Amino acid sequence: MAMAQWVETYGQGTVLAAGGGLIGLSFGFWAQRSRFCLRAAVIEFWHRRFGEKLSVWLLAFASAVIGVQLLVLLGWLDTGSARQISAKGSISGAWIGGLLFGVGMVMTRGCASRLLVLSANGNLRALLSGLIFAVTAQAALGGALSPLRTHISSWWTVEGGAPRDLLALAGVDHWAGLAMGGLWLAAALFFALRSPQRSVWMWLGGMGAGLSVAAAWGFSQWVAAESFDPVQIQGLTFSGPSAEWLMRVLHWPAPALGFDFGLMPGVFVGSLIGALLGRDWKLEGFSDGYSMRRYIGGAILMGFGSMLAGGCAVGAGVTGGAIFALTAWLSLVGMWLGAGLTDRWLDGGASAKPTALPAEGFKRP
Amino acid sequence: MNIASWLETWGDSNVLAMSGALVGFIFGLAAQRTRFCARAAVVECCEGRTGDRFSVWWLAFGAGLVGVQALVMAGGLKPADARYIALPGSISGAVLGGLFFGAGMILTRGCASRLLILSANGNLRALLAGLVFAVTVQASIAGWLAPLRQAMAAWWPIDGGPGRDLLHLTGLGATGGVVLALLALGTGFYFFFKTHQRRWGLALGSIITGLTIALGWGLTQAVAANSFEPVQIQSLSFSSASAEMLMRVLSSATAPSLGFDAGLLPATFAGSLLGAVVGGDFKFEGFKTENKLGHYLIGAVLMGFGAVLAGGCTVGAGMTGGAVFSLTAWLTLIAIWLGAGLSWRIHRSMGWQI
Repeated sequence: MAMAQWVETYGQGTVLAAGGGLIGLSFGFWAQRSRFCLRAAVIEFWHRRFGEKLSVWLLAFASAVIGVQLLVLLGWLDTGSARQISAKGSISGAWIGGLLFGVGMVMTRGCASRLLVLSANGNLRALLSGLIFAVTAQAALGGALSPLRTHISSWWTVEGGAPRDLLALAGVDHWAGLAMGGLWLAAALFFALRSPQRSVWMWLGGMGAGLSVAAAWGFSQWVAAESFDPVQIQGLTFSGPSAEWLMRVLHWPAPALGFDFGLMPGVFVGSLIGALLGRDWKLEGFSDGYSMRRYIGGAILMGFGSMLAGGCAVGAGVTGGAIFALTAWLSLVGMWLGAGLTDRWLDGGASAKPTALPAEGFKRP
Repeated sequence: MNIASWLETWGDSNVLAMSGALVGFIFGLAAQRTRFCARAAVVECCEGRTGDRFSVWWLAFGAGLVGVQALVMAGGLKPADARYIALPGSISGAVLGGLFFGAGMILTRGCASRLLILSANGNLRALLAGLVFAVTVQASIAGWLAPLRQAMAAWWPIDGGPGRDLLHLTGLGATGGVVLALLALGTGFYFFFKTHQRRWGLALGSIITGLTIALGWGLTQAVAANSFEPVQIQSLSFSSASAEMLMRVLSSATAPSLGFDAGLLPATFAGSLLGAVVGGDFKFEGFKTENKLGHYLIGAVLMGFGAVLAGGCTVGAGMTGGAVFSLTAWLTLIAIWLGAGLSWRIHRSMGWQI
């Protein structure tokens, strides 16, 4: 393979960053085109209006699970060495973090990855919320909120290894994981074929976004296998990278180059290309004080929640879900619950009306 | 003075933080009540009138000058030790930074200290602009914008010492400083009573706002004189303080030790909050009718970069540095007025809404 040669020539950090950039480009493009969004999917689900958004999310999730499990079965990925499984985790952190993230996601009208995708489409609300998200995530990781995070995490911890691996807990192998992915794909097809607004982008975009997650796992494992230095294998996530990028801009010396370094700009550019192709690019801001309070509060909850849960809607939900990490599934359930409850209390279910979705609370420039 | 015993009991950094908190609280309260705002003053000036906001600012400026010069006369402050004079500076940085800062504060509808005071009154626009400002300041001090700032500052550097002391350069000396300060205060009173007639409370508030500058200088000088450690004398400044606060929140491992700035920022917020609650001004406010978010973002970035390049904001360079007659501080102050005036004029003549 050429990988060993690339690592030797360009250095491991550069190769990882380049891969992160390319995979991010693909994720950003597909996610923008398909409007991949966990928040919208959750809201559709709780209102039993199973439509396009839910189908896209299910397609992405199923593709990620199938892609990752195929990689494992082909021997190209060892999920046991992933941080979400090998390291010591926290059940309480996953639950509470997932709930907080779900609440924040509905308040901000978009999860962390969606904010990044929207920022590239000229949405300044999303850009500012993303900044607040990154500041809170970094404060929870190593700053003023870090003691609170470690305290909540310590309530109920789980050892790394088999106790965090859902497949090992259930006593089944990766063929069962693949079958599980097939089940999700069947559900995705069921809803997608009944969705009122089907388009080719829904199919392509949903699968493209999900396969980008699998590609990230496969790529980092490839580099890890060919490199002499230890490389942490990883999928796509947005909480850690946004905090890392914030510190990179703010402070010298910056952390070493890696996958995350390429990922964020890659997603941004991919989404920008998607927006330009689809003529979605439009400058947007806030229209009133109430929505600002919502956005600020939501971004803070999401930043803290994602660090507590060990990932955002993509990082814990799709990336961690695809390798069947126990805590990731708990976080994902927490996100669905938190988002559903918040939608009911805060919006009274108003956002379920199709016309109210994009326009409510905003105004055109 | 029992400052020495306080220092022994509480430690230098805690005493400094407490004095920062005291100064900040008074400043926040007084500036909130008087609606002290350099931006509004420049805008009035540009429109060719010396109205209520300009007179408040100028009176506070004059009071700060007189307070600091009186302190110097009384031996409570050695301006030569202040970083505005003692350390090497940059003429190009002062002028360009002032221009950027002035242009930025027009766009964000308030300079750095005003944004902090408004955020405490429930203004979420100011809060967000303040966050972007702090991020840009930190990036200009030690992050990605630092090389650009250093390059611009290197175009015309200036050594520290008497060469940065305006009173020494012009040959006016200490007496000249006092005369200039009294002149500023006198004209301040003239403009104030021309516009506000007999509003003694407002006049007192403006004077207190200005005198906090002298209080900050005096307290840190007293600590410096009684401490065994080297202590940087300083007074109100909001740019580096906001970056320091940001890094304190973001990273505990590299957090700087407590100091004057650590107490200053939260106390200014608290003082302004108290003023807003007492005056019934507290109200949650966001972006309203038009899409101004882009203005605020660009303005906050310009202001943050400009503040670091120039070595301070309107309060930090303009008043704190101006009161000790630092050459670069005066250049910055003039450049801020020019930049803001120019930016205001351009916006008016192009018909852009701000």
